[in-house]
Amino acid sequence: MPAPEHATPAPYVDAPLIAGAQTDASLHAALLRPVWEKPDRRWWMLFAPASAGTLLFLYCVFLTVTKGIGEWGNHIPVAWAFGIVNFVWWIGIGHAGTLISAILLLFLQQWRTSVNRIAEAMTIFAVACAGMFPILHLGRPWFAYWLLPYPDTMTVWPQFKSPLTWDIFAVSTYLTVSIIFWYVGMIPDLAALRDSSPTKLQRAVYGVLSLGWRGSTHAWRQYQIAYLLLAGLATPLVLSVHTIVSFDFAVSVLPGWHETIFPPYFVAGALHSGIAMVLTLVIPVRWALRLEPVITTRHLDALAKLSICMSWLVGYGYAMEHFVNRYGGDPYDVHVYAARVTGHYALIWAVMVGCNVVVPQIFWSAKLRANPWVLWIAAALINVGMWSERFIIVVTSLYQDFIPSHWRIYAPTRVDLGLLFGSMCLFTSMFLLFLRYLPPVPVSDVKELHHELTQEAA
Amino acid sequence: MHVHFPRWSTALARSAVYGGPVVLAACLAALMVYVRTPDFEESQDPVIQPVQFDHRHHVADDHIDCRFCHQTVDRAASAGYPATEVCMGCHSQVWNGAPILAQVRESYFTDKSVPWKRVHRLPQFVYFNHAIHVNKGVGCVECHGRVDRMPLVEQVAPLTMSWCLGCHRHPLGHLRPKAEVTDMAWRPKGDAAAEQKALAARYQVHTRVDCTTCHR
Amino acid sequence: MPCACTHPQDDALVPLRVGPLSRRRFLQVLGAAGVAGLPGCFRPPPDEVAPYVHLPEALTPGDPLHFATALCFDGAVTGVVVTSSDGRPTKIEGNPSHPDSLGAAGIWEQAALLDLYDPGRLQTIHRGPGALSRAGLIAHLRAQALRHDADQGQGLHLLMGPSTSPLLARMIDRFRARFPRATVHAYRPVDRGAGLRASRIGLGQPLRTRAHLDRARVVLALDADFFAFGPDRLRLAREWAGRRTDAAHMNRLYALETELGLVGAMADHRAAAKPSALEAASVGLVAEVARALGDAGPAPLRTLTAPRLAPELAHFVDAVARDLVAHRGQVAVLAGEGSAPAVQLAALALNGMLAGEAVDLLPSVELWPEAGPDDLRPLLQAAADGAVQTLICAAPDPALSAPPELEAARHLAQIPERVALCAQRHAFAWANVRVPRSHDLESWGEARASDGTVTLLQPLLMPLYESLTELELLSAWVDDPGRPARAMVETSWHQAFAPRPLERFREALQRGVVPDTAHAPVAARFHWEALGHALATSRSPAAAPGLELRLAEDRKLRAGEQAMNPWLQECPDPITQLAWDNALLLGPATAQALHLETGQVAQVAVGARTLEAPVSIAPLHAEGAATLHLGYGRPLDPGEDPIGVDGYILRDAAAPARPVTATVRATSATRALAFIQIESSDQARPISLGFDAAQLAQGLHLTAAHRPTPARLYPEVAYTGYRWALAVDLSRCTGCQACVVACRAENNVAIVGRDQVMKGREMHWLRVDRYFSADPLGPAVRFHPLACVHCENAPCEYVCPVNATVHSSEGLNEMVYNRCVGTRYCSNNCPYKVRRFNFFDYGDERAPTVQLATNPDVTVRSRGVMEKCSYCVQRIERVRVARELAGQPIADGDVVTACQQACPTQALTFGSLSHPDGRVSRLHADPRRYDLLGELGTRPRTAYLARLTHRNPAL
Repeated sequence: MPAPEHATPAPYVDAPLIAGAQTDASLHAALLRPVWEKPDRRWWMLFAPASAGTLLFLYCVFLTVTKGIGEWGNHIPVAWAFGIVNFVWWIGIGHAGTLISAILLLFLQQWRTSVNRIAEAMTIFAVACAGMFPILHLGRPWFAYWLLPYPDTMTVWPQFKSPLTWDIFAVSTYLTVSIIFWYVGMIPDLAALRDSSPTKLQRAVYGVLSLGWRGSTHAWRQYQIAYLLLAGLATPLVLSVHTIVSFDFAVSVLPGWHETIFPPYFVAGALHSGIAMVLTLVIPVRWALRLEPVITTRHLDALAKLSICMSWLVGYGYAMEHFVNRYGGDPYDVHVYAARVTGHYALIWAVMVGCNVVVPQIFWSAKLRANPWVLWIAAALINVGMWSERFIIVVTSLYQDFIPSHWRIYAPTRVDLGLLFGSMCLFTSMFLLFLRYLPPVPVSDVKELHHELTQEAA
Repeated sequence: MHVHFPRWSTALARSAVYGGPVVLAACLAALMVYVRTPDFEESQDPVIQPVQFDHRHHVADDHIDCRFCHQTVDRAASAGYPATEVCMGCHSQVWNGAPILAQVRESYFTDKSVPWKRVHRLPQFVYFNHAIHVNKGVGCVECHGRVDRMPLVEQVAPLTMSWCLGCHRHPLGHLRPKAEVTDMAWRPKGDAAAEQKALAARYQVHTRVDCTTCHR
Repeated sequence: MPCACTHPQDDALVPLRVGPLSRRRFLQVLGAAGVAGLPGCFRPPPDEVAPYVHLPEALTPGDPLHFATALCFDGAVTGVVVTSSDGRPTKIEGNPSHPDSLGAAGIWEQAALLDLYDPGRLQTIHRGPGALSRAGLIAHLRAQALRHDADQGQGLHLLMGPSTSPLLARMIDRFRARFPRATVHAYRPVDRGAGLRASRIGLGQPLRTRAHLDRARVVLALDADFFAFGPDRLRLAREWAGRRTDAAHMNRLYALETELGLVGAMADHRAAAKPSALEAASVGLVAEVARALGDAGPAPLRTLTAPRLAPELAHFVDAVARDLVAHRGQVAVLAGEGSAPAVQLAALALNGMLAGEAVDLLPSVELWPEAGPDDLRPLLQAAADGAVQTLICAAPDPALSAPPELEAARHLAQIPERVALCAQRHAFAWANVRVPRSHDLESWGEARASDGTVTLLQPLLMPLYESLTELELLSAWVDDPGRPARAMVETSWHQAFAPRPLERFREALQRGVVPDTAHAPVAARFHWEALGHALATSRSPAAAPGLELRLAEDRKLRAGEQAMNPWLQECPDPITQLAWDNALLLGPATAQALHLETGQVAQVAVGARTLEAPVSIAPLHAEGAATLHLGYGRPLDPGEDPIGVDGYILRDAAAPARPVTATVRATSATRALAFIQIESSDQARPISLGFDAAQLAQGLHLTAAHRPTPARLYPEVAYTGYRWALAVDLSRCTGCQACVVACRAENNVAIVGRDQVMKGREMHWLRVDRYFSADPLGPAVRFHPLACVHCENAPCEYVCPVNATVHSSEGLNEMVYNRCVGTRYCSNNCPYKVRRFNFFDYGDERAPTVQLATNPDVTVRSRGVMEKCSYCVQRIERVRVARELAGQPIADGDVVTACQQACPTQALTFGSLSHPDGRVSRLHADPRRYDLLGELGTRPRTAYLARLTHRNPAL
């Protein structure tokens, strides 16, 4: 991508949060433009393959449901593989949204303002993708509703000791709250869109969506309170969701799964992948939609710094689980952790450590932090690394556990790969549609921030 | 800032906000109610048999004991569909020319079964044993209802798992002396509760709610 | 037997009635798929029912019946008790009153059930392209017979397979009487005559040695895998195991073999030698023993010169010889059925010098005991000369097993009239009249057990197809065509059973055997000179340079007779752990020298003939030799890929029974093999414990360490009723896989096929794992039967989100298929990895006929559900109902699981721990008992008893 005109000479210590001389009008125009402009060729060039990939995803789903899980590479002992890996990976990605929008809001981090909507949208689409896998993964998906507690004619209830039952609540709550949070945050902008709608239809649609928002002082006060409350509500979820997902493993007796360190370890990993995904999305978006004035290097800089922090948390997790298990000396644990480093999947383990722990260290250099290209590639690598982490956790713990006679190598099938790739395409197409029909940057918040900043300046 | 929507749209929006969840809940509730109706349980639906066999007549009028035809009910898992020869036992003498029994005679002489229709259909993964229930003093009527009043037999019990469990958890209310199992009209005399207890003790009736009691 | 109320006694005469009924019932079932209450995959039941018109007495619809009959394999017969559910034979178990079964059933016997329902069976009588009715066939054969009356059977040839039927013998006599100039051949793909030929030399008459291992202190197996092969393998295993569990009376087992066999795996000391060395070592043993006996021994053998042996082999021979002599009189030496003459002579000589009461000499029970592959030549020669007018063939198809250069098919096809009795639709392509062969379960017949006891075969159902038995086919050639086989059997005992022929025949049918018909041991004199001379001269000529290639019988498919049986194909070979495959087995060093690795394709050249075979490196296989199992290389259906590779084409036409010299070289190709177990090392983990009787104290300390009583956080569960439990005695388990097949048959365990096996989706609820252990304390090869151990604190249970696997009040770990949604979490969390998942709809993919083998007491699992060992809960419930109807509690030994029932060595014991002095309770209290992975706090209800070995300090 060509160096934008707002680019600031690196190393840059304190780039502005809103670059250039902006007025409410200019911001208004600049931030709503993506919605009113016809999508250019680049949009279609992304959307066409993405929707094609979505069709591939649907085809693989069809195969899995009609023919059976046998279409996947799973076997005994590796009864969980790609399906769960993808689930955990997507759920993890879904974490940054709430972190940025809720936690950073509570911490009064001004820089969150311009990126939070993209982050939240990403969260919702990621969680939606994630949510599909556990159901697809069932041998008899049409009975998935048996996991819900409801009075049936069998007088049989779900097993509340099982982490999978907890997952249902954790994930669905997270999805619901994220959607509400995202939507409530959007209401003023939807109203703005309504008011500037060129056609009747658009006005009607945005009108309904904006729930009759008029921007009265009263409404604004209510809105601020509601938004803060929601933020408070969403914050614990950032921790709870992946903690509970980690229980799927930690609660078992399996060497490599039976780890007390898993809850924090998983949350850290989740945030790591989430932030990486935000970077992966924000960098091209700000360039394509010419949002550099509001998503400045300052934002990327902040995200990169967060990423360093997460990489250390994750690295600590890796070190600890290896150390504790070697030190504990249980032969089965020792074997599993040795097999991760030297066994059949050693390469994937190396990718995991390399991408998640080593790569982010380049962000110590402010120069590199300020370079969108470097940032983007590093972020992409971290996404790969986090996927590998989940693969290592799920598969290498299963393929060589207690009874050697059952040891067996796992290899994915085409359907497995199709589902992973397809879910990425599904995610991409949903995100592209979001960019097309909703303002990617919260207009009102940015304007507000703009006023705050100018007052501070004065 | 001009108004985009008519005034009533506010009311509409409000009702949508409040009504939406209500409608959703109602749909779910309706489903849960439906699976508990005879329509879903396929009960209370008289089954037409190839031969117009009238239980009411045979049981009530002729006072034929259930076990006369369902011979293995007290010694085997299956109560036993009567072999054609059982019908012919009587009907070679009485009504031996009746057109209504033509198919039975045909079956008897051509050695082809009468294709009776099943009334009580348990799923393949449910293993039910008549003998043990009968021998623990559970009357036919407990599950099959007043067959002596049915011109065409129909399923009266829901045959849902919760219904089975109801009795398996609290068998006491459903016991009678073995001698009375086939009596459609039997009522406990005197202190019902005490008699039930005595019966339970005599027949060693205990609750059995392990899954493998029925599912193997 | 599952239903306590039914010993064969109760319904001996029912089959006569059940037959026709079953036939109709069978057709009904076939028509309206699953009418007879076959448990389909969670489908709603059919709404039509077809009751009997005339209910046969003693038959209660839905209750199984049991019949005593027998199954014949290749000149051996095993008495069995067959379960018939609504007229469908659904399970084959051993007959306790049969001397070669003693209540056990091996893999061949049990899998024979599937042959009955094999969709590949020939169903109608074929004449050329057209079909023939049964009557038409009889008429046709009679016409042939009349034609041959003219020439007294000139050019009339009869090709018979191995048989022990006295009835058939009489039939053959009558055949000979009518056609004096006819020729009767007997053929079998492998040679079993060497032993008898040896005894001709050593004893002057053909006698078989019958070992009684319960009386033997030292057992020596010379190239003899008597746990896997032979007519009395079940009895020998039982007797041997009887002396393995208490250190005081333990026997000691020596094995001298080429390929690692079951006996070798269980042996206290084993030496591996390539075939030529093995012969030398056997002769060496005789020499050593004779020398050690000195004057006590036979003079002619004392002068026998011991052949030169490799040092470690010589050391082995020396130590074994001394141990044998030390236990003179309590020794049993067994030679393999197919072993070389020298080995047979050596075994005979050793028994003669040492055996005492541990070995008897009996006449062979077979009609043509010495029939072998060579016996095909005269027939083919005659055919080539055009001297054969008519051939009646009741033998296994020679075209499949004859060496290629004999061109069997071509020569046989030249015969004008070729009648063949064939089981498989695609066999006997060369015959012009192909008659379906009745399965033993459809047949009346007679056979003799290895001790001579007459065994009766009675049908459980009318022939499903237009099939005939040997007897019925031959009856058309003697004076009474089409005479019902039952009449033949019954009348043949009319005199013997006088004055009450009917009742006594009935009793005999009920027991399955005719009492007091066993042969008496023969007291024979040894001709030591002849024996000594033969021993000195009989060794095979020194092999040419190259690999000595054994073309051996397969432990599953034998010589290929059961190659079409999916149960056997999918059952792993106990040693190689291969399913749906055979491979060229090489010792590690040999493989390394040839630069071959497992899965690599090697080109095997014998003379001009070559074969491309995948290699499997077989630890403990003799170096300098290779083994290829016969019976493979045939497709289940024409057009499909063949299963494995066909070793027959490498056999030496001149001496098919002998090992051949082969040159093996690596190719670039590879072929993935369907291993059930991939990792062979036990990783030094305490899984299959074993130690020597001498180190008992140390060993018991070892087991004690694996009997933990970990605390639990949840409140203790009080088990008030029965507490079901299993005990597995590793000292007894010979790894024969009988339990594996029994479990599959009893529990409707699905066949998944080769591809799915390679993907790791085989469904066995019970597996016998085989480990090679580096632990110096215990045995090097260890078998480990592993099924669900029914943990009291089961890790699988608390992770299932829908309560599909839960704990019963009697301690069963219940798997509720119809509740399972298939998260597979339970399998992940099962430390024993004994749960199996239906990745596809394996149950419903079965042919409709095969579905008739379904056990109606067990749900057929549908796609997407988990399944596992249930401790045969359906048997528990059957017994419970029967007992409660009788107002009694379940007694110790009432409930017998399928695996326990089949086990020849009684290694598995099931029962309730609530019986304080019950068998299983006593075993659970045994000092050798340990809990597999007990340290995880799972509290398994299946206890293992460590394996005892009995080492010779001199080795």
